[in-house]
Order: sequence, then C-alpha cells, then structure tokens
Amino acid sequence: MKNPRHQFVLLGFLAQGLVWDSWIALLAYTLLWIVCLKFLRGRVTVTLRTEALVLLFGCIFSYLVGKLFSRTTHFFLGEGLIFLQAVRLVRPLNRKEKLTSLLIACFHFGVVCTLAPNIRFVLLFLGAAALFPKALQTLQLEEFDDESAFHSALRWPEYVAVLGISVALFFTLPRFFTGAPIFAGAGEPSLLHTVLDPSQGGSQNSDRVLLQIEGEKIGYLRCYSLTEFDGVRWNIEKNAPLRKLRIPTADEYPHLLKRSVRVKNGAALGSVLPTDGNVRWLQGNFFTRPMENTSTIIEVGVMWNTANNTYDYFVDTNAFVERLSPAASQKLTSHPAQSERLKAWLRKAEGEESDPIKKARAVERLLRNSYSYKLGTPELNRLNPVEDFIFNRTEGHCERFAAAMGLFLRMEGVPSRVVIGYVATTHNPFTGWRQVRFKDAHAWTEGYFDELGWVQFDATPGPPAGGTGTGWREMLEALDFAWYSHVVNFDGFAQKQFFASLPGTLTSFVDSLKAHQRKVMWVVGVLVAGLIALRAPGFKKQRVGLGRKTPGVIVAHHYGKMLQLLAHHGYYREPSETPREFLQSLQNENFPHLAQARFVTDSFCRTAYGGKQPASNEIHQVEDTLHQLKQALRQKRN
Amino acid sequence: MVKVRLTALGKLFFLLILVFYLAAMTSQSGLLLLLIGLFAAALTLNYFICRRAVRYVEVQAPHETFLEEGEKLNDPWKVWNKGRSKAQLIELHSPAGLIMRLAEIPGQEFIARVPPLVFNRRGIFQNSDVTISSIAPFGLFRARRETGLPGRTVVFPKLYDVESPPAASLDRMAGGKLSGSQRVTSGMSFAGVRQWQGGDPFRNIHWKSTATQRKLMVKLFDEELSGRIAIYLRVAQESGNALESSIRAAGSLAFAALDDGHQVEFLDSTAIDPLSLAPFSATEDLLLRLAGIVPSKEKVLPEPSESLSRKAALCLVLPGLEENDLRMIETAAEHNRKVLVFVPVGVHVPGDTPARVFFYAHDRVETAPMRAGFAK
Repeated sequence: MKNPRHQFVLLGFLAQGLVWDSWIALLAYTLLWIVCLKFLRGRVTVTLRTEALVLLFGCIFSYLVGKLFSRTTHFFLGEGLIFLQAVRLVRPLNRKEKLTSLLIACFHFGVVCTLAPNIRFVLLFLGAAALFPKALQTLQLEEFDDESAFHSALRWPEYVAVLGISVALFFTLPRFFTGAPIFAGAGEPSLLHTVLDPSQGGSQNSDRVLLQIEGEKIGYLRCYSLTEFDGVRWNIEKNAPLRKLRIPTADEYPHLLKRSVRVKNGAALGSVLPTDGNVRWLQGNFFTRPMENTSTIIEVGVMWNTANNTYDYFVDTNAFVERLSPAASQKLTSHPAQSERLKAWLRKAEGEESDPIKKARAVERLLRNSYSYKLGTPELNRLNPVEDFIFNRTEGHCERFAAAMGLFLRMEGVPSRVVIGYVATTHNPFTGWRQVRFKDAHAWTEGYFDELGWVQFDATPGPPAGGTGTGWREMLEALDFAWYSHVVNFDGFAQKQFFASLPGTLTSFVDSLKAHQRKVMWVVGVLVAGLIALRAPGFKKQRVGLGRKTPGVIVAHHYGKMLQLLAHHGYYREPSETPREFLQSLQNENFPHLAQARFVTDSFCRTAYGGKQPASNEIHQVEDTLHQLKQALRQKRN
Repeated sequence: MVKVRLTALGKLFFLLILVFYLAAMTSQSGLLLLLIGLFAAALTLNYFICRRAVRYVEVQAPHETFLEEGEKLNDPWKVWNKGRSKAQLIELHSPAGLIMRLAEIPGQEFIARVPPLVFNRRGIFQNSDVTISSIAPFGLFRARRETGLPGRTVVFPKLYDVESPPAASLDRMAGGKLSGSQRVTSGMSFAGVRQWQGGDPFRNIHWKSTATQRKLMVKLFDEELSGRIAIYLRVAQESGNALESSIRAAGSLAFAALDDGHQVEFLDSTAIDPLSLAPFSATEDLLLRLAGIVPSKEKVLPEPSESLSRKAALCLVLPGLEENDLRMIETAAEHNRKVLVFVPVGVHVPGDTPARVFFYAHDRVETAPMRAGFAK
C-alpha cells in the first residue's frame, strides 16, 4: 500500500469516482483498492484471460448501471479499466504492465480534468503532482535494485519544480477556442421538462450551481412563458415574433439597474437567458443576437459552450406599461369552458373582493395557505387536471399551482401566462453574489392588469425566496465558483487579458514595494539571515541526522571530532600517522582514556578500511563514547 | 561532452502530451493542460537531473584485464560521484555490454563493485569506449558521456582441446614430440648408452655402465623432432557464429601444434605479416592476435602461401568454401605442399579437392578427414 504506484492507481480510482459526483462511489472505489491490496494480493491467481474477462465485465456492468439509474453510459470504458486496475493490484506485474497501469491512472485523471473539474480536483492534482513523479521514479529504481526502490525520494525542490512547471505551462500554453454550438437540451435535462415533470432529471441536479447573479432587487429570473392553454396543458407559443432590444438613451440610464450574471453550465440554459424585470439592454460573451419575444423573454441566436460565460443586462425601473392589443388580450384570456363546480370554488376563493387584482391576490393566498407543496405526486386526471388538483389531490409541485392560478386569472378575464424560470435563493457572503441552483427552478403566474401591466403571482406554498447562508457550504461554493471562473474556464481570452495586464500588475507590485520599502527590507533581512544561519557550518552539522548521511560517513565524522578533541587537549596526530599508529602513540604517552579512543578508532577502521557498514546501535555507542571522552577530558582540565 | 536523448518512454510521454493537448483544445475545461504540465515537468526535471548525474560521475577501472570468453571481470571498478547531490540510475556501458548498474551513489562518495558483466564475445574492448549513462529519475531521458578511460579488456577466444594437425619438414628440436631414428646426447626419452666421444657433455656420463664397462659411457636419447605448421585463417566478412567458430578452430589448432612442440606460423586474412611462434614460447601475442581479429570486407590477400613458409604444412581454416578458396588450395597443392583444409560442419566439399579436409564446429574439430581428396 505504500508503493507510490499503488497510491497513484488509487488516485485514478478517486478520479473516476469524482466523475460520478457521488461520495458513495468514492468510498466504494477506495474500499475496492484496500480489499485488493490487503486481502486478495498474493492469494488469488489471475491470468491474462481473467483480466480480459474482468475488463469486459466491468464495461458491461457500468453500462447497465448507467441505464438503470438514468445516468450517462459514456463512462463504461473508464469503469471497465477500474476493474482491470483492481485485478492487477492482486498480482505482481512486469515492467510493461506497471507502466500501463500508470498510464491508465493518467487516463482516469484526464477524464476528471474534462468531465468533473470541480474544486475537489485540486486535491487530486496535488496528490498526482506528489505521486506521479515518485511512481515513475520507483518504476525505474525497481529495475536497478529492489532494496533501494523505496528508500530514495525526490527532494522538496523537485516537487516544487513539478508544481511550478505544471502551473506555468497551464498559464502559458496557447489555448484555442474550438467550442461547439449548444443545442437546446443537449446533454442536460431542459429547464422546461425539469419543472413540468421533476422526475425528468431535475432532482438529480438539484444542488449544483447553475449561475451566479449580482445586482439590486433581483426578482424571479424568467426563462419560458407558456401562453397557450388547451384545458389540459400550458404550452409555449410557437414562432412568437422577436424584437431587438432598444439601446437606452442617456437620460434613461439613471433609472436602469445593472445585473451581472456568471453562468457555470451553459448547456442547461437552452437558447434563453434568465433575466428579471424589463430588460433594456443585454450583452455577453457566449451567444449572438439576443432578442426579446412578446413575453419579454430573452432568446439568443446561437449559444456556444465556452469558458467564463458571462452576460450583463439592464432593467428599467421606470418601465412604461405595455399595452396589450385586443388580439393579444384575447389570446391570453382564451380557455376552455370550466365546470360550475370550479367556478363556484373560484367565487368562494375570491370572497367579497371586487377589485380584479385583490381577487387574484385572494386566490393566490388561498392556494398558498390551503394547499401543499410536494414533489413526486401522482399524475392528474388527463381531461380535467386543474379540477383534479383543486378538489382531489390538493398537493403538487409549483407548475400545478402556477397552471391553476393562470386558469383562474383567465376565468376572471385577466390575460395571464405561466412563466418558468429560476429564483435566486441564497446570497453567498464570500462572493457577494446570489447563487442559482438547478433546484431553484420554479413556475409562477403573471397576470396583465390595465395601468399596472404584468403582475407576478406565486401561488406555490413555501417560504419566500432569499436568505443568506454563512456556513461551510457557501464558502465551498464560493471557492468552487472562483475555481471555475479563474481556473477551469481560463480560456484564450482570459489568457490574453492575463498577459496584457501582467506588465501593469508587475509595475504596481514594484510600486507597492517601493512604498513599503522599510518593511520589505526588514523581511528580506530576516530571510537572508535565516538562510545564512541554515547554511552555517556549525548549524549544518547539528542538522545532520542519521537519515541524511550514510553510516560510514557518520563514523568518519565522529573520528574526526575525536581527533579535534584530542588536539585541543594536546594530543596531535601526525599527518603521516595511520589511525592505529596514532592509537599506539597515545598508548605510549599513557593517555588515560585509551579505551574510549580505541573504541572510536576501531569503529572507524572497520568502516573505512574493512568496508563494513556500522549498525545504528554501534553509531549510538560511538556517539556515547565520544561524549564520555569529552566529559572526561574537560574534567581533567578543570 | 554529455549527450542527452529521449528514451522510448520519453517519446511515449511526448506523444501523450500531444494527444492530451489536442483533447484540451476540444474540451471546455483547460485542466488537461495541468496534466500536460505534469508530464512536461517530469521530462524537464529528468533532462536536467540525468545530465547533472552523468557530469559528476567518474570511473576508475583496472588498466588491463585478460579474460577468456564466458568469464567475468575479477577486479572491482570504482565509481565516484564528485557532485554534492546523489547520482541515481547510473549505468556503465561498453561495446561488450552493460558493465554494471548502480541505483544510487550518494554525493561525494564512491562505490566499488566487481562488474557482473560476462564477456561472451571475444575482442579487445578499450576502456575509452566505456560510457556512463543515467536515466534518473524517471527514465524519460538518457544522458550519456564517454569516460575516456585508459586501458582495455582483452577477451580471448575460448579454445578447446584438439589434436595437432600433422606437421611437415621435421627438424631436430629439443622438446619435440616426434621421435626420429637417430640417437642423440640430449632429450627426454632414454635410448641407450655409447662410449664417450670428444665433445660429449660430461653431465651425460652414465656412471653405472661406465663402472661396468670400465670406460666412459654416455647416455643416448631418442632424437626429438618437431615440424612446421602454417595456419592461415580466412576471416569471414561479417561477424557471427561462422567467424567465431573459425577463430576458435584456428586458435585451438595453433595451440595444439605448439603443445606438440611444432613451430607455428599464424596468418589471418586481415594481417600482412604472419606471427611466428616457437614451440613452448609465450603465446600472448597469438591470443592477442586472435582476440583482435575483426571482420573485414576487404579482399582476401592473394596466395597466403607466399607469406608463409613453404616447408610448413599449410592448414587453411575457412569460414566456408568458395571458388577463391578452391583455387588457393589447388595452388598450394601444386607446389607439393601438405595442405589441410578446415571448414565448418555442413559445408559441401567437392570430391576432387586436392587436400585433406576436416570439419570444425563451435567447440570441436572432427579429426577424421574426409575420405575423398588427398594432397598429391
């Protein structure tokens, strides 16, 4: 388990687990690794045929699991390779197989770079930067000498160099935009389907952040407007005319509120841009031809999946009330005749109110207070879904409430439409932006009133949107988004900007150094003093430990110390004297601590001339003897 | 000068970098470039570390070593690391093969080790051809440097026991293995006594018979004769088993002849002057000559019999039998020389070849000559 190659294979397992975006997958893969290495290794016979079968089985198994749990089946090859890697952990490998194993782990790592580049990738990358070089080095050392394979390590400057070069290349390697246009709904369940039928994948993506938005008084973000009602379903008006956004005039600017949006996952937007309010102007970097439809939804010509998807738009707080044409008004109030029962219920819900908007608010309140919000309720009656919802089910998801409210408004002659979009819920204090997650998809109703224009009604029970999170989750999400914006989405444009701003950044850095000259001198002085102290001979010797020098060198070092000590006390060794001759001369001079000197000399001679490496306990004995000699000579002098 | 080249693994990594770079261009996430950076960092580090390792490593080798094929060196080679950092994955290569591998040499230290290399091929391997290489630490680049060491390792061909070829022009020679009909006053084989004559050495007096006969009697010995043998080796034009077998056969025959007390002349087709060897003399020169034979594509020297003594029996050791060889045999036979031809087992020899033909293999010479074809 300590083998760096095995550890790198584990990283590959974890990378594949990240692709599933599930802690269970990560745990399962780790467990698999442990079981294979700890319990199965050396106990199970594995042949090449077995490995081929296991690979095939793994691919098929992954494909079937993907189908069963409605997840993508594209990763079947990666999964099959996991199985192969696991089986290879069980037996000893030859050099080629070890290398293949390393490369397969690199392949898994490459997959997570493209498919799951979230913040957890940082930990994986750091692990890879530490383990990959070591695994390669061990592979070579094992060919030379098995014993030294695990003793030799890279030094910390080399690890720093690996990280530094990786990061430097990340910033400097040219990037080319080859993003392809996104087609609505491609690869992701569309917002429309998610809201209309939450079982179609919406719940699976619930916690993932879709976008972040910044601005004052942000309302509900509108994506789709369903205006056609046939008594059963609300549908989008096909081929609704589009109009260009009018560029605001100078005196309109004071009334405009700006919003900035950063989209993490462009594929989920379809061909619409979530916006709130009356949009006056909009610009962004990942789409063309933004235009407004009759329901004030912003649609774009072509959207492509690129890095750092951002757009800014301005809403007009002083928007004039748009007049509905009689034809449009008729269209937006048309509905099939409803039963007397439903009409009676509506009259009861409106109570004594006479004002149309107050009546609408009363109905809204009744729906919010008397009905329940619940996902996954059974399908409604196909012929009379609204009646079934009002009288029988009395619970459901947001689309049912919005659909019912829309019908009730039309029954009162109020032009209405069901709008689907997002509600920005939490405010992230770390980024200062509002998070919009997939689970924030919502449906509500808008009704048109003369003098007021379109008014929003949210009949879905539940707490109001908003709130500020302050926990770990928000911090991680902030980090995650920053990671996405500045690292994952570091594209050619961002690279160009980075290098364009580099001279300015360096200049301002130098200026700030000049401004704080004194502090900088202090810091530099302390660093230099520290470096000099570290490299000073006396200090350096203290740092030497058994693990840094070979035992032979340490024994020679101690013998040298003994000679220094004796010379200090008047016992000099002639340059022509061998260690034994010097020992003899000490004996002739009746040196009182001859036994200690003999011990150190014997140890030195055994190592230097006999080629025998001393054991660690012998080195300790030499050190102790030297210490005793030192004490004895000092006492004698005193 | 240190030369650094990519290893096969390094080339694979370059290819991986290209593949990942292409993939990165089509991916929204640029994180693949970090992975590319990891590979590139490994390549960069490897380049500098292996270069540094090789620069500071020095080798001390025995000046001259003599071995036979299949033997290992006996004396240790010392490898010094004069740099401060450890040197890893050091290899010493010679044209004979990989001399030794050292996983790690700590800084400012040396390792002395007897190389495990078995010299399976004959030859003279100059120590100056020994190179130091390192692939530290990842095996992606190999840095190599020539050592320029003095000295050499000479590997003699592995000779085997064989009967001496028949010699010609027998002459009296002390120690000769052949017996003549005459009796002489010195030798190894006692053959009788006679009365002392002027000039006979006093140490040869046979005192027992002198006492019996009451006159000075001296010992007589069988005459010792030895002949002359000239061995000509036509060197194959390419290295291989044929060349090595022929060299071994020629060397074995020469040594057998010397052991039998014959005078031997040795010439190979790559040399101009023959080597003359008296019986029981030091044979280092012959071994050196045998060790140093390298195949040559140059034309065979014409008429080796012109360079070799006509009195000697001519042994032609050939790697095959070509038309030129047959002409050479006929020419030699025309001069009434005793010609013996040694060819590899399996070579077809025409029936009318005017010479005694013997076959040799990797480790023996078949002493029974071919039935057909005798020297005239």
